[in-house]
Amino acid sequence: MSENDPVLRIRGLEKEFRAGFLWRRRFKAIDKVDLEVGRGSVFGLLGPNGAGKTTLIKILLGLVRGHGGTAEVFGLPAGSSESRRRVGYLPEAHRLPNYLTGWQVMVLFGMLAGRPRKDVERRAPALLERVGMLKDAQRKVKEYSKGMQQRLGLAQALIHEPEIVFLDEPTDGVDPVGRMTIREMVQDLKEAGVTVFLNSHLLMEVEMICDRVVIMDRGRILREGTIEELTPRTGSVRFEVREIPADLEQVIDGLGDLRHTDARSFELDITGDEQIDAAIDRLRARGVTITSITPRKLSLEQSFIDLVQGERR
Amino acid sequence: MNVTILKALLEDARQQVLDNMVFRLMVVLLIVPISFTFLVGFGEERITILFGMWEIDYQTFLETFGGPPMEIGEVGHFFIQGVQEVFINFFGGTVGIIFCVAATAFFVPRMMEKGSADTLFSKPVSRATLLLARYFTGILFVAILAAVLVLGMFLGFWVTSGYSDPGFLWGALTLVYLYSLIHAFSIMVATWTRSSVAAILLSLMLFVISGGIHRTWMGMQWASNQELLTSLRKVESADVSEAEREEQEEAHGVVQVLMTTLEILHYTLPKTTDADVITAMLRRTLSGLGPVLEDHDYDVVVEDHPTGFAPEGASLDAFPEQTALWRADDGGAVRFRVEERPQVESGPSIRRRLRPLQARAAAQDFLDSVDSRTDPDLPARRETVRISGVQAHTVRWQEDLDGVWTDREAVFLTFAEGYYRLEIDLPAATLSEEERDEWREAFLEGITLGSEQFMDPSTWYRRQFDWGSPLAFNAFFSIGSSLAFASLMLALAWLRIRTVDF
Repeated sequence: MSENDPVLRIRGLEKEFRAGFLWRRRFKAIDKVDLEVGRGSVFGLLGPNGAGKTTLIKILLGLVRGHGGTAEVFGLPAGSSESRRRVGYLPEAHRLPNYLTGWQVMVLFGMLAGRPRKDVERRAPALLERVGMLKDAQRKVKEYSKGMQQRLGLAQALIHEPEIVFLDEPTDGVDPVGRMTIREMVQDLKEAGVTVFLNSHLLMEVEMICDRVVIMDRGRILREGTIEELTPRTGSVRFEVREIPADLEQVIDGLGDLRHTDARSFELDITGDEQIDAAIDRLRARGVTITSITPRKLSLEQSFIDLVQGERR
Repeated sequence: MNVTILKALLEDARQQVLDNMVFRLMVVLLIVPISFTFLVGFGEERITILFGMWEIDYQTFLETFGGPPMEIGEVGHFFIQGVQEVFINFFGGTVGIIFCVAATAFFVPRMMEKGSADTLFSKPVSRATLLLARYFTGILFVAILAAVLVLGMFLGFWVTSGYSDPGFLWGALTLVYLYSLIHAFSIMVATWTRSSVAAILLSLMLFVISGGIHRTWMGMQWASNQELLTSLRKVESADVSEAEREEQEEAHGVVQVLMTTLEILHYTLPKTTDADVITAMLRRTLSGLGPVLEDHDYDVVVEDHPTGFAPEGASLDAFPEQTALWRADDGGAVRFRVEERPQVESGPSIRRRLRPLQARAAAQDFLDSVDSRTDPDLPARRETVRISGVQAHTVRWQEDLDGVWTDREAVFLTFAEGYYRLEIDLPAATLSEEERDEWREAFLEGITLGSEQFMDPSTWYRRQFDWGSPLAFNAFFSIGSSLAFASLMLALAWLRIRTVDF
């Protein structure tokens, strides 16, 4: 497998669950999904509850079986022992063995991933330190708070130096400082060439750290693209100034509609960059001090809601 | 499987066991029987409590509380074996197993819970390996407890009572064996239901039901044997009416179905009640305790060598194909053999085959033949004696054997399937007549012959059960079929876990 080959390749993936009396009720969790993910990217997986995000990850990890289509990780069948050896996973609402200490969890899962004990013990302190759990490593998991368990879960997912990491709601229950640490760790992983597959409901977080995003609903991929592609400019520009002049409307007259004002900022619907330059010239000529200019974009959240609601209509 | 993964699973199993609250509780509970063995000593003549703080001699104890008639020197061992029986077979083999099943039933459901399963099963370890790891974690749980109990009691009896029976250590293995059968079923239920409660309840049901089925089957076999013995006695003593025989043989249709069902269940389910029988057998084999001569086919047991005699070569091992032979330094000899074995069949053929073997007739024929060899002043005489409650016919005479006047005796006995002949030669000068009679009586008392009719089902079953017995009573079959059941349960569990979606 060459460096440029996708680490993850999915073709026509389907998964149907059966439930109810005599398993007669059927539910399609994944419906003809095609996807490719390149090495060293941070890939966001978005979708409402029941969209099939977790099922997709579980198929790739061999936790859900009996699917249609093909799914390959590193060119190997998804779920095979060899592919799992190269994968790290932090499940949503995971439960670590509560009879073990944090340190023992690291050793157990590292060794289960096939790494010699010495390697695991050499790598574990740095990882525990990175997630802020080193000082609590000798305490039993049952004594940990939810956030601590989440941070330990992330550390165990990375103990065997995986080449691709699936993080399902990694910041769930983690405080803001912890979240920032996790974001930094994802960034570090990306820089180290590790592919990160992020499943989160916190769209701001996804927007901040993901290179590419897939939006799923009802088992299907609705849209795939970069953050830029999914968050187009709205055409509005926000000006932040030291003081709004009393004759603002006259100053910017003819440049675009004034959408919003408050004491130190206003938004202007502008059609092109020339008009932004013109607005800056007029404001400066009027003696207004400009502190910031931000072209307004559609937020990922708004883009996501528009897409899902549009699809369901 | 990768050695690193195996090490990880072993370490996980160890931690899971040591952290278990029930395990800790049971370790504390084990202190009771172990302390008992250290604090209460059973000496040759008395019971010593708290290293000599109190002492009770056996005579006083037996007079106060009663007990079976036995030599004072044997009482200590009797008590020790009683204590071992109570703690290993009853507390360990029933209450202990129930506790352990309840304490370990959650291993698999917890592993399969959402959240736990995701983390564990995403690792590059096969599902079958993880399932087996949980199975062996349970085994480790019980193995540690059983080893602590048995070793602790062994040391206690050794230190305080000076009693050392390495065969007792087999008790630990049997507890593990018994638990491994039930635990396999518990694992199977747990994988299909993902419920600890279902695993506990159904496993306990299996434990109770299989025990009930085997005891009922044992009773059925015993009753059938009793019926056969009764019919044989009738054959020997009087005619049995054809109508009565037919009535006995005719089983009602429904009863027949029930009996067949019982047979099927007995052969299919794990033979949990055999565990302590197997222990006793292993223990007897290892410690060398038990009868010096035993043959199940002919239903004969000789408890001890005749006093002053030693077995010759491997003649006891070759019994009943060859004569069992003991010799004394003074030229005395004891021979015990089976003359001819009639084929046991139901119906009038039994009568036809046994009649020529009647002991009385044989003894009379022998008396006639031996007359010419005896001292005319001391003619041969025929007497009756009772061996193990069964009437035997004996011919006693004196004869010059290579220049030594010897008291000779030939005992004839038919019972059940056997026709036995016992010959005793005692040089006349060695013992007085009174001493000879005492010697003879002691030896004959140690022979249990055709005693099955006096045994309760459990004792009878233990007598039948052996490594070389027929299938129904064969120890290898019991262990093999029970392990096959456990393997089937694990295979069903694997079938479930390999297809389940987490």
